[in-house]
Amino acid sequence: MTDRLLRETFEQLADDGPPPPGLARAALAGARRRRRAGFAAGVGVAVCAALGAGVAVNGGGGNQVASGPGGSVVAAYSGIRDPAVEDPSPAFDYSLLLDRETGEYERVPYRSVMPSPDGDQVLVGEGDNSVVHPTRVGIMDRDSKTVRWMPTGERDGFPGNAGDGVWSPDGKRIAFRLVPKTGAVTVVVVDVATLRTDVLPVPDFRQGDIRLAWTPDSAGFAITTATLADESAPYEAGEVQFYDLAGRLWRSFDVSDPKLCAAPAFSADGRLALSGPLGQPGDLSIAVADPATGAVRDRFDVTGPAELVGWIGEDRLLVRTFEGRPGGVVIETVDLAGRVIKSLTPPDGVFAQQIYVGSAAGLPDSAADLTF
Amino acid sequence: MDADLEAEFSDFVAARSHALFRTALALTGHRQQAEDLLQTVLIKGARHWPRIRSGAPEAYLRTALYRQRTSWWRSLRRRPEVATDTVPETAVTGDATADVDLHLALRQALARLAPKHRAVLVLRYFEDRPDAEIAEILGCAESTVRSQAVRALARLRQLAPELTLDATKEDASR
Repeated sequence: MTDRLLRETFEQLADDGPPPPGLARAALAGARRRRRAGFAAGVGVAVCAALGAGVAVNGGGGNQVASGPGGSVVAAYSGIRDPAVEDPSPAFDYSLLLDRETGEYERVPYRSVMPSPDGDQVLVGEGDNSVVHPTRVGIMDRDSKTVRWMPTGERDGFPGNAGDGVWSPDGKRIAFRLVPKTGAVTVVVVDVATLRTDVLPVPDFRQGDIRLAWTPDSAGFAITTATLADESAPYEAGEVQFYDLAGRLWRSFDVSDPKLCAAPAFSADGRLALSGPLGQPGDLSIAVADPATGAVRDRFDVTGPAELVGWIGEDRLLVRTFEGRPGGVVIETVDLAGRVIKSLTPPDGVFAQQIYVGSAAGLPDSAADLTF
Repeated sequence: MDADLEAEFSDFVAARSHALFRTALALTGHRQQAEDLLQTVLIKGARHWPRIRSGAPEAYLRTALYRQRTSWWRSLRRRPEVATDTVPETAVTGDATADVDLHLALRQALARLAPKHRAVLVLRYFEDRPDAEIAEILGCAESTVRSQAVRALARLRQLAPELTLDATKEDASR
């Protein structure tokens, strides 16, 4: 199928004559009627009840800080549409953060939240890139709730969305994939203490699933390069490339199977998981590979379609499945033979764009149902 | 909303409704559905006009068109593919009418595509938006945009195999 054909067809469809007359008048009348009717009361979803009912998830795959042993928990649900707000702008999305003392989720007025590895700070984002609701990204202190906002307007495309950032395992830095309107896609590293930004002179990170995966020592990050023969072909993995914090490529190895094109995922002790394919029907293939050479040590498939989210300890992985798989959308922990250890069934009620998983250590007994 | 604001909204609609309607047509492929979609979104626009007028109201309404059409995450789980009561005809390639037939086959395949998949293709191929902007408009992750686009194209190929043959022939003639 050619791009040309799609473009021409959409143009033909769009050329179906002018809109009907009287649109503004009808819209104004409709708005008056809606105002009189008022919003339906009580539409708001009780946060805990909704969580009890379940969550759909997306994103964050492969770019999360690895959770340690001792059980894990969803530390944040990010980007939830509030059904009580008619305005479709993402500026009105909210998020849920797990309070480790109470074991309950609290609602925070940010469209995006990403807790630091120790949970003391949270990368937050708000706005819809409009004049009324400009996009802002900042770091919130968990106790005081105060936010230090990152400077905007200094670099095209930065800071973008909070969801583009990834905490380093030591919690000292956040790496953002910078996607300007024009020019190369690159990386910006923000020092959490000072908010100082460094643009790394890396090659154009435009191709493939270029999500950043910090190495466990926080000294740099890795990506999986991938190419696309054409728009309808699947991604084909090339190399796993390791960069230091000066943007220098210091190591790379070929990926043994072009199917394993998703972002790399490191455990806390440095084990490496590669996965793929991306966005294709069929099973998710996962390879546990030597982080120095790429030699595959374990290989197994998860009944797909699914996506690798990250490591849980050193001998389990977290995956989420997609629509179309028997059983629907679920979050699963699997062992390194692909056996499902535990499954968290996504419920109805809260539709989070992203989830962030952290350690369940220290949670009260009342939160046992939330852990996996 | 006072009379001045209503007049301002009316002027805006008069100036920009054609462009918005084109997007609605590309999204729905059906004139009546496009009119309904645009009308629904304009009502929201009228309600929020005092707030959005000083920003980028067209961008706001365009985003609302996509959001309204897809109800992105809800549709991801709840809405099945759009079913039609007619079986698409198979296009015949290799003669003078091949290109017309391919367009017809593609229109029919698009009509059977899930709204979320179609929205990604409209944003990519009709509006030429980069994936980052598509993610912003649809309120999802960029990786999701890519995966949905791949799935949408794969589904189109499945629905209209002749499109794949056309691509092969084009590649061969280069």
